[in-house]
Amino acid sequence: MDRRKFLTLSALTVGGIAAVSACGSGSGGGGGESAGGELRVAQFGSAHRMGLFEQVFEAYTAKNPDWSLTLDAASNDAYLDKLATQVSGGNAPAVMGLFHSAVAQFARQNALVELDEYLGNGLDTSKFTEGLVDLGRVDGTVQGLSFGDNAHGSMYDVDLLESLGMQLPEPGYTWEEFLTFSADITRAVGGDFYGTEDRSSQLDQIFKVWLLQRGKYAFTETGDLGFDKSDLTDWLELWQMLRDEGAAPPADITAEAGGTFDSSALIRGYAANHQTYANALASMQALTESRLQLTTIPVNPAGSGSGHFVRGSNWVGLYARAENIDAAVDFLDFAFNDLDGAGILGAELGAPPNREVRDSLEYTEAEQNFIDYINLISDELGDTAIPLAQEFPPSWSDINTEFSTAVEDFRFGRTSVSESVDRFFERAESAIQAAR
Amino acid sequence: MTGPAQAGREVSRRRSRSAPGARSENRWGYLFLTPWFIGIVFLTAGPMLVSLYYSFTDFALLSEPNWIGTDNYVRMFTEDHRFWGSLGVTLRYVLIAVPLQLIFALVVAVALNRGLRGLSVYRAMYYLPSLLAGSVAIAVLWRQVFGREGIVNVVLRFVGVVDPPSWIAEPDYALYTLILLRVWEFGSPMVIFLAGLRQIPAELYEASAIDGAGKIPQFFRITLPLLTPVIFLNIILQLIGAFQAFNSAYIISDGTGGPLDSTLFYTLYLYLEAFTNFRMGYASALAWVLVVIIGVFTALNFLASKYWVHYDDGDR
Repeated sequence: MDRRKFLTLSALTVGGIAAVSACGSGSGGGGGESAGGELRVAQFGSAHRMGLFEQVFEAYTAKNPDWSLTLDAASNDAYLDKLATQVSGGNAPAVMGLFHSAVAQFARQNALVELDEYLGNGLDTSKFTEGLVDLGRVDGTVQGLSFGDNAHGSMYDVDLLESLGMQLPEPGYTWEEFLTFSADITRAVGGDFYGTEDRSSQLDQIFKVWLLQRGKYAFTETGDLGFDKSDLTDWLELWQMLRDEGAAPPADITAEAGGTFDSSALIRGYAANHQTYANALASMQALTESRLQLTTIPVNPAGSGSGHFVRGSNWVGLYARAENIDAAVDFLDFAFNDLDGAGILGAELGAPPNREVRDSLEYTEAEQNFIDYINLISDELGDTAIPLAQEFPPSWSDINTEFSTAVEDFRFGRTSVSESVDRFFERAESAIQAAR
Repeated sequence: MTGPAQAGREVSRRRSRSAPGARSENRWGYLFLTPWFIGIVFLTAGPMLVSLYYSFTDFALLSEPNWIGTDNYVRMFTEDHRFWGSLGVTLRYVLIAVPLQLIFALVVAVALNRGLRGLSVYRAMYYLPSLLAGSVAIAVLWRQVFGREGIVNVVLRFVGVVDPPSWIAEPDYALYTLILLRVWEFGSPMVIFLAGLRQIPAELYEASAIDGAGKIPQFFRITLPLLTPVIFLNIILQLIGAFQAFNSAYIISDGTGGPLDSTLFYTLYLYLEAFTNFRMGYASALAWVLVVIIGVFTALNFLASKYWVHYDDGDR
C-alpha cells in the first residue's frame, strides 16, 4: 500500500505542477474579462454529477471564452484524501467541492480563501435563504458556501404504505405516532421487515433533530458537548423501545447497512423508510421502482420547535494558495446565480440556494418533492440553523466514532444503558481535550 | 559447518579476486543494480525516514508539521483505546489464521504429494484462491456470501437452522469470516510445502517401511522433522503478511472496521487515522510501532527456531 500511495502522490504532484505551469500565463485572473487561463475544479460524486459539471463548464466558457475549466473528479470515498494531499503539496484545484464535515477542518488549517470581501462584490448571495451564508463562517469569516440547501428528513416507500392502506405521515407527526405507525407496518408486512430503520447510532443524523426538539445542540459554540447523560440515556431507551415493540429492526440487520444508499435498509428491503438528509431522495429514488416521498422526522409536541433546520449539503470553498481567485469567484457566481449555470445543476447538489433560481427551475417528480420539503423547512417548520463550525468542532470525527460505539454496544446488548452512556462521556471528554 | 555451498563461495571469491577485468565486471553489476538502488532509496528508505520524522510531529496534511516529541507515542499507549482494540483484533487474527492456514496448506500438500496423475492441474486449482483472495472482488463476494441473505445462511436454513445471524454484521463473528478468507489463501504456503516435501529423500521412507513403520509414524518421525525449515519459512512469511492484512477488512467492513471495531485491523486503523482524520503524524507513529511489533514477532520466531527447526546440513 505504501508504495502505491507514494506513486500516486508523486504522479499527482507531477500532474499538479504541469497544470500550475500551464495556467501560469493567466496568473492574477481578471474575473473572466481581461486575462484568461485555466481553472481547476475538484468535485466528488457520481458520473451523472460529473456530466452536469462538464456542461456547466461549457456554458461558462461560452460566456468567458478566455477561461477553460477542467474537472478533478473522484468518487466519494477516494475524494478527500486526494484533495488533502493536493493541498499538502500546494497544488490543489482553485475550486474545491467539500463534504459538509470537512469544510471547518480545511478552514481551521487555513486551506480556504476568506470569502467576505467577495460577497456582494463578484459573488452575489442576496437571494439566498436568509442566514444561510453565515453557516459557512469559521473563526469569524465565511470560508465555504453550500451549492444547495438541505435538511434532515424521512423518506417512505409510499407504494408500500398504500398497499397496506396507510398514508405518508404528515409533517409534524409525533414520536408516539411514529412508534405505533412503525409497529403497525412491521406487523402488517410480517417476516424480516420493519416500519422504520434504526440510525440511532449516527450523531449527524436524526439524533440532532431529536436533540434540538429539547432545545439542545450536539456541540456548544466552544466545541464542548451540548447534551448531557440524561439526553443520551433517553435516546438509547427510546430506540430500545422501538426495537422491543418491533417497530425497528434488531442490531445485526442494522449493522449490515453500510454508508451507501444501496445498502440502506429501505433499498435492501428491510424497512419502509430511510431517515437521512433530504437531498438523498433523488439518488434513492433511482434505486427503487417504488415511489418514495419525504416527510419530517417525528416531532415532540411538548418540545421547543420542530428540531429541523436548514443546512448546507454539498459545500464548496476556494483554495487559499490558488492563483486566479477572482476567476474562481466569478465561476461560483455563475454556478449559483446564472440560470445558464445553476439551471444545469438543478437540484443535484441540494435545493439551489438562490431562491429566485430555485423557483424558476423545472424538476423531476422526486426533485420537486425534495424542493417542496426544503421550502417547508426553510419557511415554516425550521428552527435556527447551526453554523457548520459548531456542528463540526475539531473533535468531531472522534466523538462521532465514540457515539456510534456507545449506541451499537448497547444495541447489541453488550453494555447496559448506563455503561454505554458513562463510557461515551468519558471518552468524548478526553477527545475534546486532545483536540484542543 | 562447511557445506558444499560455502566451499563453492570460497572458490568463486578467490576466482573473482584474481581474475583480470573483475573490477569492470563489478561496475557493470552495480550499473544494472542502480534501478533497484534508486528504488530503495527514493521509494522505500526515503519515505520511511520521513515517516519516522513525522511520527514525532503533529503533521495533519493540510498544514506544516510541528515537532511534538514523543507525544504521539505516549498518547497511543496511555489514552487511545482504539489502538489497543485494533492491536487485539490483529493479534487474534494473526494467531488464529496463520496456524490454521499453515495446517490446512500442509494437509493439502501432503495429500497432493502422492504422485497423483494430473498433479499440476490440482496444484494450480488449489493455488488459485491465493491469487484471488487478496482482491477487492473476492472481499465483495465474501460480504455477500456471509451476509444475512448470503449463500451460507441459505444452506443453514435448508438444514434447519432457525434465524442464522448475519456473519459479517455480528461483532462476535465478523472477524472469523476474515480468518476464513485468510485460511482459504492457503495456496502459496502449500506450493512451498510441496517443494519441501519433494526434497525429502525417498530412501528414508523405504528404510522405515522395511522396519515396519506405518504412514502416521512416518509422517511424524520423518516428514515433519525434515520439513521444519520449510514450516519455519512459511510461518515467518505468513506472520508478516497477516500483520499487514488490510484489503479484506476494508472492503467487508465498508472501510470502518465495524461492527463495533471487531474487524478494525491495525493497518485499517492506521489508514483511517491517516486518510480520513488526516492525523499523519499519529499514523506515522502507529506505522513505526507496527514495524517494531512485526520485528519482535519475527525475532522471537528466529530465537525459538533453534529448538525445533532441524537443518539437514550433514551433522546427522
